[in-house]
Amino acid sequence: MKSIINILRKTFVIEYYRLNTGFLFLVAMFGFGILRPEDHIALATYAFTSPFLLSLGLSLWGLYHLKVVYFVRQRLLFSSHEFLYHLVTVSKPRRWAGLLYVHFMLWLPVVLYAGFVGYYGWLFGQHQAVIITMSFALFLPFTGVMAYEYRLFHPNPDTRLSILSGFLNRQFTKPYWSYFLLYLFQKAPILLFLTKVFTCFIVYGICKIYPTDAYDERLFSLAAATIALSHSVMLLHLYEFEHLQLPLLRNLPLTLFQRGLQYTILFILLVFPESIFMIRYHPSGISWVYTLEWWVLILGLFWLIFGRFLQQHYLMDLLLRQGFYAFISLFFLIMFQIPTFLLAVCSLGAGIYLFHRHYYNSEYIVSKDNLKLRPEE
Amino acid sequence: MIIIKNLRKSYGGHLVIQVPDLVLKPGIHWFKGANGSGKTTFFRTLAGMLPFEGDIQLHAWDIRKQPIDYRLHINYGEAEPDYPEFLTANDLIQFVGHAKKASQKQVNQLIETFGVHDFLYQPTGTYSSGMLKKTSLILAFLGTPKVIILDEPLITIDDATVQKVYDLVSQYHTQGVTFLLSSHQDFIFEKLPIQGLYQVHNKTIHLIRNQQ
Repeated sequence: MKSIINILRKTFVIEYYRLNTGFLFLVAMFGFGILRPEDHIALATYAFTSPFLLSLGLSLWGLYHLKVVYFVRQRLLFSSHEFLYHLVTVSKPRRWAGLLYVHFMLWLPVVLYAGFVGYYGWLFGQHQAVIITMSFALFLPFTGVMAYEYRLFHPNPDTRLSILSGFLNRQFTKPYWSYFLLYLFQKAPILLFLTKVFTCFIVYGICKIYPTDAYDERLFSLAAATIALSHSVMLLHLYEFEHLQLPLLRNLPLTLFQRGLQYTILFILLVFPESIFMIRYHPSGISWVYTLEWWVLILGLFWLIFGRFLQQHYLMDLLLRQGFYAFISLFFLIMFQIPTFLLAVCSLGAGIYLFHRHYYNSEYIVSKDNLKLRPEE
Repeated sequence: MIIIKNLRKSYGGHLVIQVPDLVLKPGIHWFKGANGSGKTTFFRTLAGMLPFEGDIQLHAWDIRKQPIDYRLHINYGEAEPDYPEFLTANDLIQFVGHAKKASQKQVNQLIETFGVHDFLYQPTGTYSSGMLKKTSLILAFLGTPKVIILDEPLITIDDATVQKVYDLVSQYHTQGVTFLLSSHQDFIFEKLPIQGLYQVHNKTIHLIRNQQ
């Protein structure tokens, strides 16, 4: 039993928390950042007296339950997890205990929260509502076990597709510019989340502090430089993603203009959240013409960073060093009042030049070990 | 016809393959070589996927001077295809088909031939190696190429699909398409009229036999 638990812990529990750190962090930020602990207690007490609020809360937990079930069932589709189908040969009580362990561990945040609010509900005498809540939190994992049990005994790859994603895949063919966005959501959600929280916070912050003192537009230009350079790692992911997972792109008969247009659409989408924040909190003292220049400066710097990746294969330490020097350079250019428009045009022009010159010469070298002689040579 | 002159392909200064002078006439050519001998690097270079030193010309199209025409007429099927797991075979086929100017009729025919309809709309992350290989073979036959490069086309697919690959290669060959193939298994010569047999060894390519 110990070995089964060990395998299940490594394949599901650790993976789940690793991939969902961003999501859980977001929930915790919203949950405990906005509400104080005493607010949670007050809300729980009120929820236990209101059937509507109680059912609303239980529905949210139900959605989280579906997320957990979906995660485990999806993992069971991965070829790397096929060995887990051997679980059908284990006795039913042991198998169910293992599956219950998996769901309970993934469900733990809900159980802990339910225990926290249930304790105070019990103190305030809402015994019936607390029993309903705790039963809900403890009963749902068993439905998860049933769902996993069904998947283990029905491992048919042709019927695994969920109805919704199957429907969407039949109705829509994904455009090229969406590939990297999907990659970010699926493979680098923490990077995406943290970068966007940081950069949107910068936009929100400068919009709020700008009217409070004698700042000028350079504050926004510095923010643009910070936002663009904060995306360096994300753009490195784009460079790696295309070289490692879509090498066929370079075999396609697309003009550099067509390719450049797709990258521009992608960059505009990447900077979409910051654009929305800028429009939403736009200070009255900043002209819309300047705002456009600010936006083009971010896109121009995106192009320049991506062009540099194409020009030279970067390792992370070199990237961080270059990013630091780039920020210092931009800082002085901005502080010496070089017009934002000029910076935007120059960075955009330089980025497109590098792209044009190096796109077909760009090559991804996975590691220095690749440069060593291989045994058969 | 493919004309290769002074080709040198290195990774970070480490020479992988060099081809001083090679002319590949229309036909089917088989490249043999041990693992790591440089076959895949050579194929990828010809397909325009890797930078290199030297000159490569396909018919009248130079790989650098006419990059679009060159790439429109040379297709490549990976030995061990690996695609982003969230894309479906349909996403890839439609995307590559559009770029290679393949007709919808041809797309449908290839989907039918390789029998991928059952998993066409599933994410490739759920595919077996055989399903991935079938997808890559469809991508390699899309459009109106003059040259199709198939790196280990017979691995991981079932016998029925192997037969379909033979049939398609023969059919495209009669239409004037040149094939560059690599395989550790012996091709059945009665089924494929191999014109040139090459050995990739010691970082270069040696002609072993020419049937013409």
